[in-house]
Amino acid sequence: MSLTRTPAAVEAVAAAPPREAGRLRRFVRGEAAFGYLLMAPVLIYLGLLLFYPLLLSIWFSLTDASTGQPFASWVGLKNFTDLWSNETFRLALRNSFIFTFGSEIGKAILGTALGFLLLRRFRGKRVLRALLVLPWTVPVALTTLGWLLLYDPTFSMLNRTTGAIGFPYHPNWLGEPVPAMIAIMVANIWRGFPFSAIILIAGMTSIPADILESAALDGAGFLRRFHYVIVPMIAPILFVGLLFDLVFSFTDLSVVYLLTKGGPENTTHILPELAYQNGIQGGDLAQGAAISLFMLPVFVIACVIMLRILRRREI
Amino acid sequence: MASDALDVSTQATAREAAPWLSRGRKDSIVTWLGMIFFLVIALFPIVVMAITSFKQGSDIIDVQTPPLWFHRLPTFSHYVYLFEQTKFLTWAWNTIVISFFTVVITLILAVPAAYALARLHFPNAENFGIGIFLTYLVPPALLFLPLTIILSRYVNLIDTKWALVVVYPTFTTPFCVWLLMGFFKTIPVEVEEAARVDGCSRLQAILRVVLPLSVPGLLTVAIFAFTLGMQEYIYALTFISNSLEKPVTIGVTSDLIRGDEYFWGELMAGALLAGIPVAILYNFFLDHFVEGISQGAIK
Amino acid sequence: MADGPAENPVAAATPPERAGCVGPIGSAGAVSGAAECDEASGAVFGRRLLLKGLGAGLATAGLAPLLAACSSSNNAKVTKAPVGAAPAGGTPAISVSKGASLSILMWNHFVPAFDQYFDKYARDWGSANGVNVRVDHVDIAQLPGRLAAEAAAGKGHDLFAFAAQIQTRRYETRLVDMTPLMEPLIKQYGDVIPIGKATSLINGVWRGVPHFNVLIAPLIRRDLLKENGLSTPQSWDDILKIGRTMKPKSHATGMAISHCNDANHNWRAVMWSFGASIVHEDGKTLALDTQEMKDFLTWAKQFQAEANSDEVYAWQDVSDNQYLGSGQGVFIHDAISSLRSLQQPNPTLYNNIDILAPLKGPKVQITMPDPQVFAIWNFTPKANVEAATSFLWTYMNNWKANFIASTGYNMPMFANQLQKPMPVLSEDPKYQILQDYQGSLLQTYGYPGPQNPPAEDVLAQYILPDMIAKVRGGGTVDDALKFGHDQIAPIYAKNYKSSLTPAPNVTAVPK
Repeated sequence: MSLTRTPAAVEAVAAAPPREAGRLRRFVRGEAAFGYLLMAPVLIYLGLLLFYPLLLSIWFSLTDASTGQPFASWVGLKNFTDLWSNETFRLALRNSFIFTFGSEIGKAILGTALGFLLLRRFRGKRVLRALLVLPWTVPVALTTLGWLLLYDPTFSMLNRTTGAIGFPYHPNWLGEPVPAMIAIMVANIWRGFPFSAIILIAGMTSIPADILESAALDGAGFLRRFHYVIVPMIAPILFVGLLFDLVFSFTDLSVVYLLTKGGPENTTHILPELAYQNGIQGGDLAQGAAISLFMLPVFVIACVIMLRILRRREI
Repeated sequence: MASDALDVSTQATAREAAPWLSRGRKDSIVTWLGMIFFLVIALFPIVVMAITSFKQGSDIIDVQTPPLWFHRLPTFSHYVYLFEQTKFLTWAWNTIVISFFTVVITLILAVPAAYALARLHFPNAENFGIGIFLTYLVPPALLFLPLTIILSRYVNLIDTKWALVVVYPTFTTPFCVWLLMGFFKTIPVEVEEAARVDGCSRLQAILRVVLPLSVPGLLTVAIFAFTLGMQEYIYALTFISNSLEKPVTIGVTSDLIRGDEYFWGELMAGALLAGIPVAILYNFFLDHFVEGISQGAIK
Repeated sequence: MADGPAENPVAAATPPERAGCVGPIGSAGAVSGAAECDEASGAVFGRRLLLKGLGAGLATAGLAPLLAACSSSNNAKVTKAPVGAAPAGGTPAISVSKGASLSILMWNHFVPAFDQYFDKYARDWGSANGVNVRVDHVDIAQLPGRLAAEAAAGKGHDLFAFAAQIQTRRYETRLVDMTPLMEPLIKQYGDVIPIGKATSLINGVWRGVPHFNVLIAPLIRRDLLKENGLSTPQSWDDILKIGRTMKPKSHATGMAISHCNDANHNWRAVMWSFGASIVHEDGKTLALDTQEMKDFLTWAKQFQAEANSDEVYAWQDVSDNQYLGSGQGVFIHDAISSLRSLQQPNPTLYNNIDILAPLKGPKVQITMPDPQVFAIWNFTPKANVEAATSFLWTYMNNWKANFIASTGYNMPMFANQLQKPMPVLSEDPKYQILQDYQGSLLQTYGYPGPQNPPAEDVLAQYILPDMIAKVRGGGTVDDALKFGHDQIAPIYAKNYKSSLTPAPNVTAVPK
């Protein structure tokens, strides 16, 4: 959709009385000012409450700040190089990727399936939808406590229930590295898949109905329709939703903090949670800031790529 | 409606694939199987939480009894404790207030910015857009200490719920700007042009034409901002220690976890009471939003 | 404002900076000037008390009317009787400025009744003295974060209590000197036990007022021992033997080895009992390569294989409580809350569990409790500092009622208060043994060195439990030691350079 004025409209306005024409010229010139005016609130707000704290954090990471002495002496990139040679940190970095992208795949699969299901018509859909949205709407800190109860080694509610129906796999969920990773990912996927479903529904309902009908009438099977018609049309929404969700998962420390606190043996640390543990509870502010800052480059790159793709796809 | 079209198209497929199975029944079976599957997944932890909230304390810690049913009689005592011995209602009210104002501020910030980025041409528009989105990548775990300094020294809002109202839009706004940009772009320029030709100023055109058409978008933004605000953990944890100002997530987890004592029954009760009303509210708006979108979609 | 006779030799000799009220932010940072350090608060406090002490004699100095010699225009004195028991020396109440306010930050006590008692006590004190009091509670794990935020902002609660992670050393320059309050308390209630000094007496200055210890004790199933013909254990080796017998019978011991508080405590107790430690007495030289450490880790390997439950690697602080409460655990090492919480739901089990004295190791008998220490930020407004100190004075003198309200949890830190028979504990045979938790049996992390920031960092990162976990199964002691070195050495290398000068020997009595 073109963002410039159509020739007809311009002529119409130009043909209007001189006062209107003058106003038009003023509009054109004033557009930039108006634009800045509209952007001002959000820019000021983010500048004060995000940009300034960010600068402060970057400063912390370049010094040997501690919670006792936040403004300490310069050490340059030493915190970063130290981190890189630290085994726990490298593990946390690896885990952050596994946790985020693994959860994302799970959420995408479940969310897509659920989304398509919810697009059908059937009785009781409203009620069921309210129930299905519960994992997302009950605050994460509280549902994670529920998962704690399920994974608890003594109560083993999950194991006992799955055992009752004959499921053979009964690990000590939070006590072994691999099950623990699966456990936190499951909790994260569970929490997030309703949101993915909603994104999909939003995307799907924005597709004009006749396009879908004509594709169906043309004899295209479901999968072909999905690939060639649906996906390209909902791609922008999916991308944005995906990126949002990725960033959200990558930077969220609640699930890990409440379930494993990085254990067992540091195998489930993720970057934000490690930053909090070392930076705040351990008091090494500089290290906490440095760990957190490691999260930025990855997403800056991903974001720029996404933005380029989105820009090109615009019809 | 697009969803109808989808039904039609899948039904067409079904008829091709298995003509002997009536298309209605096959669809129903698939739908219901799918629904059951997802209901089990989504609700299993919730059901466990619900049952735990009604179990007697001794039942909860008893490993011999089945987890999904009661051994001793169910009890309301945990809910009673929640309402009588903790400040649960205050926390719930705080959460509502915080989320409400977060939504308001987010809209105030995001709507103008999204409009500007979607419609107007001015230098650096693209860079601002990218910049706003990039701010989303800055994690709260990095910012909360400097933010505490700001909230304590410069505005003295620490330990009140207004601290959260001020800070939450930092992570709701970037995404909402993007959402709204998308919505504004689906509104054709001609509509606005027409309004201006009719004599409206630009601002009036926005208020009278654009905003009403983007109500679904605004609602979506409101829902997201509301939910994100409710979910937030670390800022609420750090900024507020006054029990009267805590939102429900922090209140429940901090007052009902004392040292190494977990008051499981009350915790689960609090969790459900906090989450279920929101789910109902969410569901209501979701309906509205989806229908609005499909009606507002313009070819 | 008149501060007293200018020529008073004591006042003149007391430098205004004595209270340790240094500029809040070391070097010129981006946020300068915004945090006013009320330099006067600590100094005035000190000087006034010395003046008073000079006059009345140190025996009952206390904090008798601070402003006897001078008065400020805004000091409408409200002197009322103190709430609760009167101080033993009959010292009259301290006057506080009307309109002063007092905000207190405490943890969530696992005895909710104690929090209610404390809150009520504080409010009643406030009403009696015309002070607006507010008490806030946070979860123990959130305290460090909360306090870090307050310190960074230069604004926060007037009075707070460190719990478990006592950061008096980390914030040394940000805390008011409590010596004038401590000295009369010591005179009255005896010397502070070593752990109290280790946590509160920094470089010869009292930066905190030791409130209490939460004891971590061995809890054992007497009935299971009897059934299996096992005798009451006295050492960690005995526990190993018990576990060896009981683990095959699904009653393994329950020592957490995970990222939780319990793991930090329990394993430090064991480690020290072997004569091993993370650092030497100087608080900065690593002691990981000693033979004692190797013996300890070897023992830990055996313990995990033969005696300890295999579920412990996921445990949270609540897990060992649950493990005991489920009837499975034959032994856990935990605060007595885990026992008390069974009293209602499961009286039979409750009756079958005994509390033991600290377990002995090959070298020493020792355990690590969780201390709680009051402190005041030095950027607190003067009037509030007075209110806080006044409150503390009254409260600390009310120790008996406080202790009873805590149902015997809050073990005092002053020698005379620990004399037998103690209230509550002496009355119940099950808890009598806790009266033996005395003196140098109780040590804090960092031992045998001071409780400094690097030690705290090691604690917060759960490095010791991780080392223990490393020796299980196929892991070797060398693996664990290498891991320990890799994780701990950088912490001490970095932190120690910029942290404060090492403290003198912590058991020395301050002059």
